Amino acid sequence: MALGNKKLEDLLNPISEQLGHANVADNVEMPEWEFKAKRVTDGLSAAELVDLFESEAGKIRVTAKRCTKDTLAQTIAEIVGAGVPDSGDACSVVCADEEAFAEIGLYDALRASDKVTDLHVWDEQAGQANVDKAYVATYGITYASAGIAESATIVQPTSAKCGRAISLLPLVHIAVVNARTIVPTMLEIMQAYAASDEKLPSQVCFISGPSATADIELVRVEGVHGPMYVNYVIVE
Amino acid sequence: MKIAFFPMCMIDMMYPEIGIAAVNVLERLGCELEMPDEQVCCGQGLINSGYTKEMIPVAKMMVDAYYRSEYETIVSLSGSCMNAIVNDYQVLFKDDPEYLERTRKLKERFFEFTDFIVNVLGVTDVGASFHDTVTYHKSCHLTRILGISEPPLLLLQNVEGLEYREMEHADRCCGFGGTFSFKQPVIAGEMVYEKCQTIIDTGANVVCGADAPCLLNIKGGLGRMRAEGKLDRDIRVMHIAQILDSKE
Amino acid sequence: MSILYNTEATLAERVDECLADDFKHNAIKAAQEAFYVKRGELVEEMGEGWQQLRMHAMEVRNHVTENLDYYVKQFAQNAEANGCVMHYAPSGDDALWEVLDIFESHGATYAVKSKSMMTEEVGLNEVLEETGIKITETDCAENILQTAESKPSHIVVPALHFNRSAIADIYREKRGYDGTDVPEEITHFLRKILRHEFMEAEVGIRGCNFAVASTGSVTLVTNEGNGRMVDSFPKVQIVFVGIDRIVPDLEALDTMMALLPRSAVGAKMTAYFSLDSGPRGTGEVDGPEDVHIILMDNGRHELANSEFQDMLRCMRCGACLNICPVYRHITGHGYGSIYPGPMGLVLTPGLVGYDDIDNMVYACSLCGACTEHCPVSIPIHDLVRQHRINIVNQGKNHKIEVPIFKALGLFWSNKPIYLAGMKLGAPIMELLGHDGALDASSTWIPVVKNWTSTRDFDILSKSRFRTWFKEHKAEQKNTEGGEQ
Repeated sequence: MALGNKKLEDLLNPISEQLGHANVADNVEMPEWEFKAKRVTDGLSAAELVDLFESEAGKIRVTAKRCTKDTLAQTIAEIVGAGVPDSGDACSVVCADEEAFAEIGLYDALRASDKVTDLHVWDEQAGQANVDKAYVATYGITYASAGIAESATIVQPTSAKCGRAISLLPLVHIAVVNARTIVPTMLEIMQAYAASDEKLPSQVCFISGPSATADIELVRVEGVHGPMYVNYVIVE
Repeated sequence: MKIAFFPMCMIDMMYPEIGIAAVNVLERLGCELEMPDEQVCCGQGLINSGYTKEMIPVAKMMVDAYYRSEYETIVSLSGSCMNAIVNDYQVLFKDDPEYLERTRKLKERFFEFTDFIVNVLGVTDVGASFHDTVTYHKSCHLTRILGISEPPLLLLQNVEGLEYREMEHADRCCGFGGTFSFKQPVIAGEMVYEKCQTIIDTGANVVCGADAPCLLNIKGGLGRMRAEGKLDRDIRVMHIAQILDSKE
Repeated sequence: MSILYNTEATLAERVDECLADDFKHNAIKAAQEAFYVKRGELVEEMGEGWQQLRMHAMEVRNHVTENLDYYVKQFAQNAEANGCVMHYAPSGDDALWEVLDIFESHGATYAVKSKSMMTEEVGLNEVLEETGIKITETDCAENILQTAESKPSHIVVPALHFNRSAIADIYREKRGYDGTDVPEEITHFLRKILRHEFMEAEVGIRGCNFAVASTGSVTLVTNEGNGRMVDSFPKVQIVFVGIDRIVPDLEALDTMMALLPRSAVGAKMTAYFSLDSGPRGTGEVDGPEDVHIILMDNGRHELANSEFQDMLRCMRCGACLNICPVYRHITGHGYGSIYPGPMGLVLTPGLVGYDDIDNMVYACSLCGACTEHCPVSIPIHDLVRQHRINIVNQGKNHKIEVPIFKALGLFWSNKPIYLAGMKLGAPIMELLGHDGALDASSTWIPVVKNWTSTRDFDILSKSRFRTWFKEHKAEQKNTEGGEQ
């Protein structure tokens, strides 16, 4: 048979044949599953989930801070103001275009900071310039759609207002997580997406700590391709 | 209690003293033993090398020897050979309903030596004494596949004077693996040297186990290390039955 | 076919080579130890939940396998509905043809790649390079291997066989590195040089850990973030998806993800796990504009409805490698397959057959540690043995061993022959042995040397246990008779 240009049927037919199916079923019902797994988060209260999220964050080398909506702008400005090693004098910030950020005055607070040398708020009209800004930024700030207590994971969907680059290219990623959105495990996130009628975002990224490797002699090194430092700011 | 005893071929061929010790222990605990003389070997080495056709007569002979109405309980001195009989034979006889059925029945009657003492007889102290430092190798098929890990340790803990020392990765394969140890001597050697090193590191004077083939391999490894100057003391290799039969 | 490599060497030669390299040998042992401990802690923390999770994963994966045609179709249709361009590859060569066609249609000549076993399987890099397309591996270890022109020794940390100074030297020579041998400094050098490439490359090539049938999504698990970079900046993306990567829905994806990182690296989650559903959306300025999915079979369907069907549950976590007592000595290079260790012993012959694999499937003591640790409960060691059974049944065994096993079969099924053998063997062995064992001096004896080249072998006992037992019973009878 000639190479390439194969149809779906060319892939399916040998599978059906091997399975002894005359043709591909129109519908397959999922069975009642026999097993359901107990998870360590079973039975935890909302407050305990937040505590777990915070303590697990510490285990994966994430700096977690708690604050309220009123102190959020200030808390982020302080993190940015404190700086990180190897970041040099310039301190540019790229930020997701979130209503919540505007509302609490985050952009104003960062502009007012004498440490911040450049603030870029993601702007879909600016196209590639957004990525270029993120490429050289020290800080990237996003608002996570949810947190997962079991593994201190944040859920970061891509959108026109929050590109992939913000949580990936800067040296430091600051993710804001609303305490109310912290769920026990990834299962709840998956169930919520499954129940939604909307198409899934082009990417939902589950982020758990800084980019890391142990490829050379098993020595852990942080900051490989993504951020070297990750901060979670938990808003209560 | 009437018991049919399954010693395994290596006991018959190489280590009768281990079989004798096991018989002593079981009889002391009130068991009346019988052993069908037709039994020779479970034949595991054949299926593990892929030779199922050659194994069938071996397995049939073994099933015929032990599948008797008067043998309600069978005690095996080997976890690995017992696993071959009760589990591997089911693969072997998948197209032979008669022998498949017999194998399934045998599975209900078969007990491994230490498991039998602890869980059937309900005994954890067999009245032995052994004043020395002992470490225990957890044989793969016994521990992992038959799931028997506690009974040997319980029995050792209750031996008077015995000082137990756990080795690192006690359940890591010693490298015997039946025909594997002949087919891959270099890899098997590397594995047994590592096993021996973990034994040496415990400082124990005695290493014991519940499966003779592993002990043959470990003894062979320790002997070679001793000869090559990599080990400067004697370490005794014993079957757990011998320790349980001791008054030292 | 690129599943096998270094086939000019025999298994024994490859093993000798690996054992001669102390650094590599110790590095793999250390990696096993590290992953084993971390995984163990997490499994313990989950208590009974771990076994439940394993059982659930098994039933979900089995359900997909039994309805594989349905789920492959559902995934393909939903991925297409997400805006992905689907390419169907019954064979590896079909996949290569499709990839070359994609490059040509986009006029592209430069790609970055995030580690993907499927691309290794078809030998993608070599083919692209032959046609003048530049392809850069972006996972640190894979980049080291590509730069050094070497092969992976471990599935999760593939460049462990190089020490830090060797790695530094590779980059000094090939990429102008002028730093020290400190891993952190070398890694940050890689960050610097690769960053640029992510931005410049026209095509991003990646694999897929799980594909979700109900949503048409593909997923990628990485710690370094290179997967996300490949996934975010090149305008064209090519995703390799094996037909055995499919899970039915998002809930099942959670089950797999609860098992995968714990089993692979002893972490609850990897730093990045992305769920990708089509090209960039309206108003988005990063992410691929075109997503091409290569849905590849390459022999996998033949495992379905066969004695190796359980292997289709495999999620390539490497837990079986990290516990294998053979792998820790012979390393990934010993096997001569891109799929090494226990899972490789099952999968490799499952995909390439028995003709070119040398003695690979015998490099296993059938200890069962892999089966015990497999997060989807594949009876790995039983399947290894099944390959051995098939090899014999198909007449592909070594002819020289046949008489030996036939003789063993006869010996063990015939008591008179057995007893005669004992009678003959015991005195001979006593003659050859020293202090009750055949030692290093016996390596001139055929077959026996296979054991005694590395270990001593206890000689046969002069008396049989069965003889003692008979006498013992007779004695008991006499005593009883006397008492009566």
